[in-house]
Amino acid sequence: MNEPIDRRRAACRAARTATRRARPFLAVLLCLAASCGVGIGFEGSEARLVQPEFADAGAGFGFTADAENADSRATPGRVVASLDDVTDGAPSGGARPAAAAERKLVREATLTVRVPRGADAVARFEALVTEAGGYVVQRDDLRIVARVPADRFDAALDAVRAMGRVLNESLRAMDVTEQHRDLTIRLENARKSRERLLALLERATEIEDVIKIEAELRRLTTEIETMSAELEALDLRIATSLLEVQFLAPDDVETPIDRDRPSRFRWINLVGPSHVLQRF
Amino acid sequence: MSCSASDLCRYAVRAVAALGLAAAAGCANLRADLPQGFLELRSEGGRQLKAMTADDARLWIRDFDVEDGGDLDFWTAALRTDLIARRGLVPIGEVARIEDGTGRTGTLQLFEARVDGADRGYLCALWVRERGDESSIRTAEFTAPRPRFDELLTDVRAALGTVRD
Repeated sequence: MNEPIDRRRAACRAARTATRRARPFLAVLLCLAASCGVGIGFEGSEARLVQPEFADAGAGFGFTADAENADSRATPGRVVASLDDVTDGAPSGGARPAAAAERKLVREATLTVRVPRGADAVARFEALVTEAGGYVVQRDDLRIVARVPADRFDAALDAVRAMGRVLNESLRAMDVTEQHRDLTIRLENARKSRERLLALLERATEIEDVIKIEAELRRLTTEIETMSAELEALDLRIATSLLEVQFLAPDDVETPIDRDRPSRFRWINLVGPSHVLQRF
Repeated sequence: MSCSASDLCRYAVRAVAALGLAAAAGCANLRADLPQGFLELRSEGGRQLKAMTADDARLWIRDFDVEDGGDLDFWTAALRTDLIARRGLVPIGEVARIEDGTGRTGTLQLFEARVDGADRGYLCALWVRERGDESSIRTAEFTAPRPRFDELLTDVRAALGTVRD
């Protein structure tokens, strides 16, 4: 009669023992995750820790460890697997050739343009930006900053150049392909780690484990939110190019004609809008 | 120093011929297929064509004799420098190329100017005929208040492509 009860007690003892044995491993992994600032995930009896290898290369080390041997195998520096299985299939152990990937460029331009009437120029510029599908980011008197779709950037730039006399022009193009890929990978890994932690939380029985897992979940959630915002901002900078224009307008006076210093060439002195109006 | 009758006669013939050629040259006005809405005005003296619209858009094509020689690029740059640096006109875009009705290549420049308190657009096209040390420069000027200038610009540019002697 007592035999089944004894078997259940024995099974409970075995389970508690297994949990106690696994606790140090869990603590180690949590500490590693916290110190490395990367995601940590659990799946069944396996744990996976992923940390970026080189931030600029966007590749990473992957550590795969069985729970029982975590202390001996999950050592930073030992490559067990690449990120192939969690990324888009990049070659193992390194970044894909940059030329083979689609380049992601952030393009910006700053121009100073002299125009006859500043207010008119600003209005025309705003219309130009709207027509191109962009929007004005900032406007300060005759200085205006706008974003236009990247595929309309060159056309918008030409249109601004044609609005007056370009006194200064500065163009910048930044290749953020690696940065974008690295951020995407880190975000994806963090999300997967979070899912695994949630699954582990459902199975956790010890209050101490629950507290630790929840703490790690909070940290991961914050990290995911931060990386999502960074990626969103980067995507915006790639999809839309920044166009900053400073218009300069002469004083609101008639176009001066310097009669005291005429051109050396007589015929040039006889042409011009004023002559067309006065001598026509 | 004496002069025979035959010499006098020869000089007289040459003078009459020269005067005739000069008169013919002076009277032979330029021609162009004007845009709709432009009225050609009667012009006196010189080789020129004047036309205007009822709302005061003006087109003026003239020839200038220049003793200094010079090619199209030189005169285009000289004019641009003067209009911008000395008179304060604001260029709209870069110098463009344009052909007249005879296929001669010239240049076309667009500007913004403020004249009599109003913003005006100003177009100046230039063709150069080099004749040894001398040049003949043909200018085509078009000006109108903005935005009327912008509305007429395409038609005027097309008309400039038909300018001929």
